Amino acid sequence: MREVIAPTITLVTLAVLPFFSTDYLTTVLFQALLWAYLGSSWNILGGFTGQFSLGHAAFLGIGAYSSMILLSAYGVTPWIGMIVGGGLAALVGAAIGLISMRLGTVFFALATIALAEMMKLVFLYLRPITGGPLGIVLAGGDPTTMVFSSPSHYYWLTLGLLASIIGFSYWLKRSKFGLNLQAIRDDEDAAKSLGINPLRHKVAASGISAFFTAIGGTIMAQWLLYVRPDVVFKIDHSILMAVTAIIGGPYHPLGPLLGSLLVVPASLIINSLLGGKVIGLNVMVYGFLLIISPVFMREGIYPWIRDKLVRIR
Amino acid sequence: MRLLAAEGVSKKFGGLQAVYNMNIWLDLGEVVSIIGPNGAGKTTLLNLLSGYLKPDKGVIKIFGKDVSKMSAERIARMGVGRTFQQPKVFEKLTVYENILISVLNLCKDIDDPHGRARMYTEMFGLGNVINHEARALSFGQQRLLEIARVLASDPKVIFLDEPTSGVHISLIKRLEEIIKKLKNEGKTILIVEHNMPFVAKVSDRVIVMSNGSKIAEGTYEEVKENAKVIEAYLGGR
Repeated sequence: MREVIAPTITLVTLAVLPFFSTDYLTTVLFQALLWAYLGSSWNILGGFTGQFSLGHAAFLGIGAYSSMILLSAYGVTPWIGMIVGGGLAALVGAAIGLISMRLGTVFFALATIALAEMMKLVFLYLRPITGGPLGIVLAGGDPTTMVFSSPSHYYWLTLGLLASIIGFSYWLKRSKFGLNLQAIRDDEDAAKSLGINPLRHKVAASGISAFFTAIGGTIMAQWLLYVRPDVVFKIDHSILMAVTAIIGGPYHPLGPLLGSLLVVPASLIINSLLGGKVIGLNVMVYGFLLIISPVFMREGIYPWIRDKLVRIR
Repeated sequence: MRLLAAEGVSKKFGGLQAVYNMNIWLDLGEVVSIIGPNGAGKTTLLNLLSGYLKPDKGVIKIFGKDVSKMSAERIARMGVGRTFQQPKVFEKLTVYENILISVLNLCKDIDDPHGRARMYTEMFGLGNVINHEARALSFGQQRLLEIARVLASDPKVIFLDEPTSGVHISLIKRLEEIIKKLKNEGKTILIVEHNMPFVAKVSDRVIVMSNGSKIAEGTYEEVKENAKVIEAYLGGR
């Protein structure tokens, strides 16, 4: 019961924020929530299973393109398209896991980077379907096509998804499947001694993580109203997903949210202050935070706050 | 009734012959200890029997089934539990979760897995740290947690790799009692151990290994007088 209090208070507070903020601030917070959602998706594989992916942009891109192609070519609403994209990404996620996870975590990390780069090229060359380097642009839409007039609507949609994935992560952490994933993360040999098949579990986690990431890709595409290979398959996206989880606390469902609330607004504010003067400054900010935060908060913000609160009590 | 039989098992790592032409068997309800100097191949043999290593030569049968090429997790699901030379706990899970995970995965048709996990936590004196992360425990407590985790899954055959190493003397006595109780319940136990008084108290049979091979076998009293054993430990008289 006590565990429900922190996420409930956090999510209720976040739900009422747009009523008191400007459109700009709501947009900044929307981005923070979107990356919190994507970080939570990454965390199923990275935090709970200990498999470090640096190519989750591949799944983000698959989700973004799937719903965009289905909408622009076949008139299928992204509300359905995002599930199709999620399914496709899950298959790709499971396949890359099956191929590379048996060779170890380092090889898996390298394979995921290669996957995202490969996807970028494939989507560039498949011009008749993907629009090539120019991508696909939406002229507009309405809520039936997941296009909203106000940033607060995107905000609440993303908050709903975030609440779902945080709820799922809490369930996962306690379920038999989730305990098995964490056991594999902590000690694969010991997990085997309990009859747990590590490869099967890691492949499943990769598929689940990819599914949720792809849904985030649809949200991103419907918010931008366009999709391009260089926009969705960026390695920066893969890094940011990992960074939000690692800085926030990868072993707890609320970690990616806390990480994102710190990293994303900080990066946006710095970018807006310095404009286009320093290209890639946001990546430098992630890098700096990634280097400096473990010095003060070894396992992320969440356990740091929790330990402080325990001491106060 | 023979539960485990390994014949002509050999394993080489590069130029090192870790285990050579090893024969070993375990009967129902037996407690067998493997002793020998460091580097004798005891842990390698345990890794071969539990599926963590595949033998280069020889056959390993458990419950009459050839498991020589079987994965470690499949052997575990057959009812073979094991601990490791260095305690392998799930460090970011709590003590309770470490044991629960074993019950959930290996105990079939159990009504109250949580109750069973709590019972084993208490049985090994870990009740006061039940909600602590396993990494917060001392080495000895981690060793006990690992043994509790194995026993909670109710295995038919149990491999214990140096169970008394790093454990306080009072807890070693408790471990002796637990092993005797398990034997009375019909469990079959194979122990790799350096603690000779412990071996003497719990073992029905002792196997002595040196340089990857078996050099003696019998009761503790028999092997301790064996000339080859004395030579292996002392490097000759």
